[in-house]
Amino acid sequence: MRIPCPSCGERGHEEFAYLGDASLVRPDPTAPDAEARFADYVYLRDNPAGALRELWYHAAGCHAWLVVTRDTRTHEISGVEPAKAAALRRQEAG
Amino acid sequence: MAEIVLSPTSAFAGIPRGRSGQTDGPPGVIASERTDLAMATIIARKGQSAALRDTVREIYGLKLPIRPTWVGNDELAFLWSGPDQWLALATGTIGPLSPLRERVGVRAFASFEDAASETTASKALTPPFPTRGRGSPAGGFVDIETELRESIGAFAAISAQGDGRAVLRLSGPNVHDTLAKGLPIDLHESAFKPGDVAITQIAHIGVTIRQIDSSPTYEIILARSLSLSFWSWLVASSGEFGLDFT
Amino acid sequence: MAEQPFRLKQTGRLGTEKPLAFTFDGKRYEGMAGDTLASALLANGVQLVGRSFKYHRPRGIFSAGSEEPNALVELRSGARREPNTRATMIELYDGLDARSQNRWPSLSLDLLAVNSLAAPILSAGFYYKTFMWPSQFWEKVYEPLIRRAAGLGRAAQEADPDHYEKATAFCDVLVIGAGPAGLMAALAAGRAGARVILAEEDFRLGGRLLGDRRRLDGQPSPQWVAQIEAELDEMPNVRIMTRTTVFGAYDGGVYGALERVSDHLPEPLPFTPRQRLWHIIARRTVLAAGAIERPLLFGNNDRPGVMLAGAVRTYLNRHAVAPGGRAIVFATNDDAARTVADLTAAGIAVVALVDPRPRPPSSSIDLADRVGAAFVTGIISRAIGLRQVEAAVVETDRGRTIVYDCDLIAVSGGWNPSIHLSTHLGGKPVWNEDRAAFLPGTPPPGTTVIGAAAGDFALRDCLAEGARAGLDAAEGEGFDGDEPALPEVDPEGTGIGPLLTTTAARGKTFVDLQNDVTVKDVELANREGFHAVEHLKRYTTLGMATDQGKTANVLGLALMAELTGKPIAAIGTTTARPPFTPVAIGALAGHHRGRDFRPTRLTPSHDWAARQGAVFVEAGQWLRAQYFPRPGEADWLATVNREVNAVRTSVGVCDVSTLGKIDIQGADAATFLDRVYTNTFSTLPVGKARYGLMLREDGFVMDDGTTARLADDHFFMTTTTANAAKVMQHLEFCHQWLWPELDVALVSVTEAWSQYAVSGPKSRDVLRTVIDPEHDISDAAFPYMAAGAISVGGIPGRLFRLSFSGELAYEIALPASYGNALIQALMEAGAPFGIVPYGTEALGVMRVEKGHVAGNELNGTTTAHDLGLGRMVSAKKDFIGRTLANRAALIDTNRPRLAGFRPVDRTERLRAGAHFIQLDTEAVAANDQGYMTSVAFSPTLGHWIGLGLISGGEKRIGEIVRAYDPVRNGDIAVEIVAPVFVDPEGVKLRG
Repeated sequence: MRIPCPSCGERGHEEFAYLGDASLVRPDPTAPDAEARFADYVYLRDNPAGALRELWYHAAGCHAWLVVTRDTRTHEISGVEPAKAAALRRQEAG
Repeated sequence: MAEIVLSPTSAFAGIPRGRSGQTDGPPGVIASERTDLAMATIIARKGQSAALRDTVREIYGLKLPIRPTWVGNDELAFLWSGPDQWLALATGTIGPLSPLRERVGVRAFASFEDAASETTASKALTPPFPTRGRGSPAGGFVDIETELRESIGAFAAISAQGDGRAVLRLSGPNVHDTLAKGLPIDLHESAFKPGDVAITQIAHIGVTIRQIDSSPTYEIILARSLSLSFWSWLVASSGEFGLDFT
Repeated sequence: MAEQPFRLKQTGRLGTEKPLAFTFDGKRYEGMAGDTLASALLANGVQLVGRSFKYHRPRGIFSAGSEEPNALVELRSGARREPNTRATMIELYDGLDARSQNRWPSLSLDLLAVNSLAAPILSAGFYYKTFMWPSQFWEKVYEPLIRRAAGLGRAAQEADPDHYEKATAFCDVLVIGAGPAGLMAALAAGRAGARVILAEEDFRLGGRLLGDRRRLDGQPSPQWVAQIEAELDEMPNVRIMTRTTVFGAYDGGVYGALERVSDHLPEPLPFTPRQRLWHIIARRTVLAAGAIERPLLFGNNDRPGVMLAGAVRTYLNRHAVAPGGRAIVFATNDDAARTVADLTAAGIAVVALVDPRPRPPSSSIDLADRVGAAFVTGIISRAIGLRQVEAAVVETDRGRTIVYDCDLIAVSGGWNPSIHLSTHLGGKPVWNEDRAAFLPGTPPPGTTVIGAAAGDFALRDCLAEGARAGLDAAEGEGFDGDEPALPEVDPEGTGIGPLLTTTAARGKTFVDLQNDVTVKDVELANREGFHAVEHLKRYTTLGMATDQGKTANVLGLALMAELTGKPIAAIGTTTARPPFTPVAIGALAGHHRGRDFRPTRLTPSHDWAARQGAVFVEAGQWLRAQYFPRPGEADWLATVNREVNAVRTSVGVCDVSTLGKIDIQGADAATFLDRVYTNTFSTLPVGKARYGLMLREDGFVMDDGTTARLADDHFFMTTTTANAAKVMQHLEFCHQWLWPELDVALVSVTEAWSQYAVSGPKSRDVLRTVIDPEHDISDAAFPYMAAGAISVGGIPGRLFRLSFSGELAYEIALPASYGNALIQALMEAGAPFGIVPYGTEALGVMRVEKGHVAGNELNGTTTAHDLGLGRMVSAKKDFIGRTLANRAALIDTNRPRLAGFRPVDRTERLRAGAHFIQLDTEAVAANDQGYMTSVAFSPTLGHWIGLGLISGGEKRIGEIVRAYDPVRNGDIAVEIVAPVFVDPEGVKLRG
């Protein structure tokens, strides 16, 4: 699999480390049900067949965390962006 | 006790110079080690990326690259090393106060990005600075970290990398054939040109590669601790062409 | 040396006439340059080349390519002995030495052929049925017996003396296969200017154009090939890779290919690998891999002398070898005419052409007539002959039986397009009734399948599709060009009959020659309910082993379709996965074997330590000095005791450069550290260091280390050696994804610093003489946990007053290139104090004595509370892991928690890994209360001590429990004590 790093260009997947679902948001630790929320955040995963936004780390390249949109059935990659940009956007959206 | 004078040991100091592999005919690959280099990582502070680039341009006459390329010359170069991050590479591990800005000298590669529009300092290239011990005639010592912190520290975090990376120059008619045995990126002239930089790995060893000229000459920068493992790969991979370590 | 009785004089197309000597089963023969081992054996009349896998039946050469199921031989000898090489793929070289395999005592007299008589119990599924009971007999009795009786060749006993390598290549257009379609594709794309890689499995380009007598633009086909090859050779943008099998297609246009660099030589030339594994990264791919001919089913269809018709023509036309003297042709297609014509042209008598089609083409009938062969509408039911075909029994459609004497049966049951690479990414093949073949379904993105691989078998179609596909691919990548003009070709018949499964076969009828799977086995699988293709494969082994059923699979599927009354399309086919042909493990490893298995990191003092006789130990990728033995020391323990005593009484030095070091800067650096560490760093004064503990988000400990504050906005973090990269990745995640708003800059500076721990009561005295005098390192100016800038001989560095040993101790750091000089300066300065270098072993002893946790305790299953570090978990702030660390189960004080242990009988040795069990309870898992994590002999105390995790931990101090170690027959009483054995008040380190 080849992943187009927004900074480095297209590279083999062996340069990257995989984390998983990018839709997970670290819960508010002050919420009354924080423990249950954190348990979901740490342990519960969907396993969708189709497009999934997921976090990859360009470990052997520029050390950027990326949000990669990958079809879990075909490995087709339809989008990549720096995780930092996506995270800032997420924060702006509240 | 006698005054302490420490001498540096370069990363490839233990490797004998000369030919290895195929010894018939001219060598297919020529390698040389660059020593007496000082390095520092520059990371733009939050929201200061543009100001940093402006300042570097003003002081050093170089435009910090925003994609994987490098600017400068053998005396001082800035290599892109990640988003908002650069590696500064200067000759002279520790030298008396000698502003790096004076070292840029004549730009070696006019074809590089924006090079034509850059002004360059007029001072001739300064020779490399020998390592000096205590009692050196120079008053006080600065390293690249201190100088950069003074010049651009307001806009960037400066982290000394010392001489923690080994640096090899590679050239020769079979340099592509050899690098193809470990480097997973395309060095074809349509894909990689003088002035380009890539951060990747060779034989599971993290490297930064930059192209120096179109002959082509490349520079490989890697963690110093891995230099012998890298050398083992290089000798095996260049064996059929012959390697000359100068 | 024998002459070559079956070498043809008139039709030779070998490149040179250079004779080459070789031996097979110890007998000397002569072949020609350009031969394969198979063609050279046939030229010498050697038909019998091996014994089959299960029944030890005599087998000959069946094909002329990589699909060969039969002719597997052992090549070379000694350390280079290689089993199961296909004689059809081995290029002949002078001095080649090969042996038949799977026979005893000799090929012609194989005593194990009695397996044939035992055939009823060796049928499909016999393993499962026969060797069921008693179960312990499987490993000791059944398996060794089966392995001796059945199986393939013998691997070499010695390590492979050759080297292998890996390489990467990039191209716009990858053309797989250099037959007519692939050549035209490469030509079209190359002329347009695209970067082209043309990969060909054979050592010559041309594919079928070498094996067949065709004319293109009036030239014999090999001449036309040479002309195209010359043009491609001239193009700098085209790379021709012969002897290169593209064996796998992967996501994103990545292909795996194996180049057999030196397999055609007795041994590799100096500095040259035997094989090279390529990663080819292609924007577009043209798959022109051709097709593999299908055998036909009849009794004894495995006898030497039964050969695929296309292979017969290859031996005749390409290798100038007569594979027999008297032939019969049995085929379901018009292509048979070509076989008849070529045999006749080579002077080989064709006794009959057998075609089952009710309406055979008149051209075939006419041709048979012309050459004096009988034309029979019917089938061959059986071959006669044991070690060689002697006759064929033919059943005509009118019910007559005719026996024809012959020594060669050329068979063709149609073709299986080589679509394997088009299915590696999940594309499902589609059955095409007209062409009686599975065709590519949805090929991988960017891939076009053309020519015979797409089921288009006519030469004209192959050339036209090649020209079109090559240009399309180039244009798709932004190049412009014209389609090359197509050569004029001679006319050809292209009729193909349906796949033939109904047989009146008598005798053993083989579907899969390599695995000895017969028609009866498929019938049995059907009767026993294994209808699905994947079940059929696993139950009968159809399509397994080195050839992966290239000639067999489709026949097996067709049989099952017929048995179950379903169309082949509904039966489907098994999934082809990489590799297309076998790939040696050595090639997959490449450079990475032995010492280069993975990269090794060496510290700046490595050479110095080696000169001192240090014994090294792997720590992650690093090699660290483990201990420094001196002459006269009885064993490692004596050495380590000396090193520990030296540190505790005077001074020692240890290289700690391997610790991960991370520079953390920015206005929010302190806030950032507060969020990743359990304890608080925003309160740390500049010039001080603090021990920090990091959790994973699930609440378990991830790593520990000290972090120093160099300036308000500048911290210097250390991590454990093993976790450095993991921590860096974690911090980048926190910075880039969790808290992108923070002004923080992170970068690894591990390599920048050469760092030494100088430990012991005399450490300050040593450093005082080394560090430049302007730096005050007195206890008042530089107290415990101080951190600051120093210089040595004018070289700027850093000093930290940290202690892992519990003694007065420092860590001093200089730029890496000065590490070698610094260790020598420290040793020189320490000489008056008897300074010793110490390794990880002494380091480990002292940390156990001090109760410091390390990798054995930070093992991913322990919490801060488990490790007695609960006081470091701040309740005043959020940090990674805080919420889940406070789960009730994780703060339960009955969890296994850190405690110290000492043997009740002080002379006893403790063992890490021993489990704790209460006295007088049974040693069963239900009574397990934890285990010993680290042990050491304490020279300070004079007995063994240990750290361990035991239910209840320090609550149980004073209690005696069993340390049960069944692996090493250990079962001793140990006392639970506090985990700090030496100087619990920490007086010494503050001295």
